[in-house]
Amino acid sequence: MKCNSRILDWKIVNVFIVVAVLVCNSACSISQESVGVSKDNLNSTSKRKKVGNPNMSLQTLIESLDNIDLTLISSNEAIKDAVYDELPMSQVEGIALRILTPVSIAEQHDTKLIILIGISSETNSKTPLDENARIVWTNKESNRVSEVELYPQPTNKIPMPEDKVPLPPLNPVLPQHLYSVEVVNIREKLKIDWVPSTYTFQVVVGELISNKVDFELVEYRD
Amino acid sequence: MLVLNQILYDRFGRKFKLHFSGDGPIPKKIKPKVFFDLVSTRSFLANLRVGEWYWQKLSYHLIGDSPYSADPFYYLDTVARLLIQGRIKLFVISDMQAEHHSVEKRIFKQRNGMSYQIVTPVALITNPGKTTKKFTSKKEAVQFVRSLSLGEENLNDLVRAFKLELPIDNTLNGKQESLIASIGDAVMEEKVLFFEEIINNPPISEVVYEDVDVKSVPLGPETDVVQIKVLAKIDAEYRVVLFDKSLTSHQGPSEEKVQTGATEVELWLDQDISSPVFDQGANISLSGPGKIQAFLDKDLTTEVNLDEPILCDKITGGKKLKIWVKGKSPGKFKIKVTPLASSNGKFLIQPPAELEMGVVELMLEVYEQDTQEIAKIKVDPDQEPITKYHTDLEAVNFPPQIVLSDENKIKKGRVLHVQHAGNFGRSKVVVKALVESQFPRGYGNCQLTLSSGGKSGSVKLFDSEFDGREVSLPLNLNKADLTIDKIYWVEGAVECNALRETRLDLGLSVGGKPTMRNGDWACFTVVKIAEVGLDIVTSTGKAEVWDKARNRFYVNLDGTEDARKLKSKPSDRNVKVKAKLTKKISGVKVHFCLVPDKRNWDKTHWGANLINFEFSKVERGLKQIDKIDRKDLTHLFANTDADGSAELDSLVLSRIGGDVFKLGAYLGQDAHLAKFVDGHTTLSKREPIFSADSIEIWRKYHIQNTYNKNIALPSRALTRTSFEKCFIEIQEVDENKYDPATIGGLVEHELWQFDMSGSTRKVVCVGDINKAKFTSLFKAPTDTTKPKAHMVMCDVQWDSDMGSSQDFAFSSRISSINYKNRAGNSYLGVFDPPLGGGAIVQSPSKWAWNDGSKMHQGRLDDTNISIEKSRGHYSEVKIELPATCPASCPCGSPGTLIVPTAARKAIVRVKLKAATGPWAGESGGVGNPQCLIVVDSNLNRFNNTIAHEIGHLFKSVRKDTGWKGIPDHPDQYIRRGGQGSHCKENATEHASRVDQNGDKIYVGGTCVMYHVAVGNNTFCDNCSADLRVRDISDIFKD
Repeated sequence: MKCNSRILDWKIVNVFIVVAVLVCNSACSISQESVGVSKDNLNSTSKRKKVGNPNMSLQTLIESLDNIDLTLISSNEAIKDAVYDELPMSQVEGIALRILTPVSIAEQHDTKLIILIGISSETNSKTPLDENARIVWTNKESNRVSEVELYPQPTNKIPMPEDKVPLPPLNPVLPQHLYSVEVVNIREKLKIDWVPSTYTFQVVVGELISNKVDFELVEYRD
Repeated sequence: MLVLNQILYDRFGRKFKLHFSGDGPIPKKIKPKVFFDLVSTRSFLANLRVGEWYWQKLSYHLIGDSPYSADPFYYLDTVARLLIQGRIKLFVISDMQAEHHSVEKRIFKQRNGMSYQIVTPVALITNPGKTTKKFTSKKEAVQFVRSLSLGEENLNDLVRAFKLELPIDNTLNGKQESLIASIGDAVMEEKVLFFEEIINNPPISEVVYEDVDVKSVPLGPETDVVQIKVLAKIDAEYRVVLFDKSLTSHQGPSEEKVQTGATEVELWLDQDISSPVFDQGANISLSGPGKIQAFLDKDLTTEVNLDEPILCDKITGGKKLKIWVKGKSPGKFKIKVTPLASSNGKFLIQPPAELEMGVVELMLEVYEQDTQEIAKIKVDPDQEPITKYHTDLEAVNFPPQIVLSDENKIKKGRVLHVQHAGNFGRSKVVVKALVESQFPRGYGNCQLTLSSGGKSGSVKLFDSEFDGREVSLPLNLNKADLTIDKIYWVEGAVECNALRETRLDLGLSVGGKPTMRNGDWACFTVVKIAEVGLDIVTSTGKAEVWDKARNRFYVNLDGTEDARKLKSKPSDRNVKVKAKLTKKISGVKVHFCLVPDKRNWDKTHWGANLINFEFSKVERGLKQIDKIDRKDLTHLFANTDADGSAELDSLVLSRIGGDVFKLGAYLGQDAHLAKFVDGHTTLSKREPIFSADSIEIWRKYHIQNTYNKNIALPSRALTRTSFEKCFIEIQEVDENKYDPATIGGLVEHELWQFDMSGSTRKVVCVGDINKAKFTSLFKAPTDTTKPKAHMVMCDVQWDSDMGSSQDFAFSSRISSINYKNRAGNSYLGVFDPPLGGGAIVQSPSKWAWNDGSKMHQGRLDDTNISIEKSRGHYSEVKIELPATCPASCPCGSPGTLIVPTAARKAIVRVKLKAATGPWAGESGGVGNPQCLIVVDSNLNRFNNTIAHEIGHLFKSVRKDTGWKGIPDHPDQYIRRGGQGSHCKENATEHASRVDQNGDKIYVGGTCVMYHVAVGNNTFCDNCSADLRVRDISDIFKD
């Protein structure tokens, strides 16, 4: 399935960023404070943001990511399970990212961005995750901003007509909250050029905005 | 007293008697030989077997004293003159034996005593002992022949007997010498031989002569004192001669020559007294601008040289010289016959005869279409509305027909089609005005006749190019009316057997006499196109692109372009676009056209609901090609071969499904038929020759149905009907009924899990996890089954989905949950076993409960859940928390009772291996013609799903704008309740339900391509138009 990657015009990007910040400051209380130092993302720690309800600290989500062993990264399911295991039994709303950086283009042919999303059913009903989650990235050399849907939409299905589908439950027992962990091969999904360069990544779901992580592609890692 | 031997012999032994007056009267029954002139008389006498001195003696006896002359002919002449004057007579005493000897057996005796017998070379064989006389030179041979003193009569006998070449020189002396020379040649060439034999008899003259008393012999009176008037005469059938344009020089070597009619003229010399016959011929002279050529025969094969005198034997003694003359240069002329002077004074020559005649030039102009100029005519067919194109066509003025040169009138001829219903064109013909100055005086009442003829075929004459009145042939035109040109129009009536076998000619007649034909003429080739057709022979195992029985041409079965080209493809098919004449006539130019049916450009044919549809804007590359340039008026063409067939391999059919064409053909000379427009009031009146079959553009698409052998597959007839609107024929091939038991790893579920019906029937759920097991059953398309898609029929269709981690609040230890998708806007199906296999409950599913003082936690696995047959929804899962907390509980007091309440709820976090669905169908992708179709007993829904998924394979519903000149699809949408691009024709927005973008979803769509398979089985006009234009040679093509 092709991603819907597109290059945004700078004017649009600027407006988008301004609007996002305004929305987050007013409605989501996006924190601008540092959220600590990552073991493997030292140069991005100063830019991590605390996002979300003050009562449900984003820090918790970031720490959940920080605590996992990145040697598991070769297996998507393993890394997901590890993240799920790290989650507290509390319902934290926010989006946290983690990425291994720098990456040597000579040594690695791809790398993965780990995304942890915590979202309440209420928020999810307003901005359904599948349809609203977007990865936004900036090439810092060119200042070009791009975005792509996190969850590709299937386009080749025809649903059953409603009269063929069982009626929805009369009194459904529905979740209050959900967590979703995604592991994205950024070279494959974002189609970024595998040449020395630096990027920043963020994930946006409606009014939820993740911490920003920097990512550097280098010829060789020191 | 008679003293001379009066019996004389010639060289052949014929016997003559000299008769003197003293001999008394000649018996009445005997007619003396008449002598007219000195030369012939002398020749006759010289041929008699007497010595020269005989004539000397006879002269002496007859006329007395006579001076001696050394000239050997002197005495001969003296006797000859007496014979001419009739003062002595000579008559023939018949010697039958001598006369009946053939030339070969005659003995020639020379005066010297030598005797010769003339023989043929064959005689040498039968007379081996005899010797023949030998000659060392032609001169010697000629002298020998001359020494035989044979008269002209004998010489002629020899020439005829030995079939020697006749001498050319016709003058009297010249002729004799020529005869001698001719025989001399034959002797040298030993075609004629002489046996030589010495006879010891004394010379002949000595035998016949007896010395006599020299008393004079009395002469009779001169009897020939009356003068004979000699009158030259000319009589001509007509006093006009047709000018011969030498048109035969343009005819082929094997063609029967069409000679210009010649005028018969008789020439002769009359005389008032018939005997003796005038001994001379006559000269013919011509004067005036008109020039003629004369022949001895009506067929004009033996020409007469009128510059040479005509021999007397041709025109005297009642003989008339008939000559046939034709004109070489137009204009009047005089022919004059003047008798030659005679040495015989009896003949009184009268003034020459003269006749004024005229060489008349008749001119028949024949015209043909100016095809070079016509080829330059351009009319733009891509105009809107199309009636503008038709108006432009109607306004096309053809250039005037151009006159054929004399050479082309004969060599090329004018091609006409046998007329039918006024469809075919006529040739302009012009009878040119006559030139009065070419006619002799008194020729005001002659008639020109335009006639038809030739070996085969026929034409008809009309007074106008179209319609008009027929003018009967032959057509007689009075000369008086031909002071101006007369224009007529010729159409084909009956076809010729070969090229140029019908003729029109102009002739001349006077006063009811037979017409002199072919004063001018022209050839016509009348042909008839017997049939036009498309013939395709497909090689075994290759796609049949032409269904002749149904007139369907499948343009997609051989790639994007190949099948459209009506051209043979080696090893695949032999294609013939052919027009065949009724006769085997080669070299006839035939145009081929793909005449569009009027529906092709009709908007209602495309779809009444299309907005802003303009046929002219539909991309040209999709349309038929039957012209070098689309704006050309005339179409591509080919010439007929020796079989009378013309074949063309450059026509290209359109790619547009539903287009209908008639294959037509018309002659190069009938370019007006290029204007034919189907259904047009005026432009449809004159039709080309059409093939019996129309050609309707179709596409064929093959589908392979693969389905559980344990089910009865509902009818797919509605699917076929759906696509027929788009001119796509769905053909099912390679059906595969599989046995679920034979498909490794296939897990069947009881039906209740999906529809909560309680049914325990085992069903096959096909989805992304296991569909490869079924798609692998796709039989690769062959040349006869491509393009092809695979319809994997399923009982149910769900896709495995690893759900998100979801937190539920439990107010009791046992509770059912409804598991939703990550977006929370749709329920997931939870099945046992899960579609992806393995455990339903995924790590880390766990629970937590705070009893007020301590937090208790534990993990969940499949033992904590159940999927019950009685559940109310496929998303429903019953979860039972442990009764007590486990040993691993962080509370430090394992075994604590877990008793969630409304006030103290437990948090249950579950992540399940679930499934998305239910789907009615799934379409394939680029390079992947695999579709999943859920079998539905509701035929409308079932077929809707099939057609819908096939539609997606053909890029429906189109998002592109400005595509191929087709209007942008006004009802295309994405999301709004569906996945991918769909059609919302007649749909309305739901009052409240929205899609992920917050846009209201559509409900009630009526097109097949509406996002839900509600049972629509008709493509809307826009989707249908797209599918008519779409390249169906494969999936996801442009």
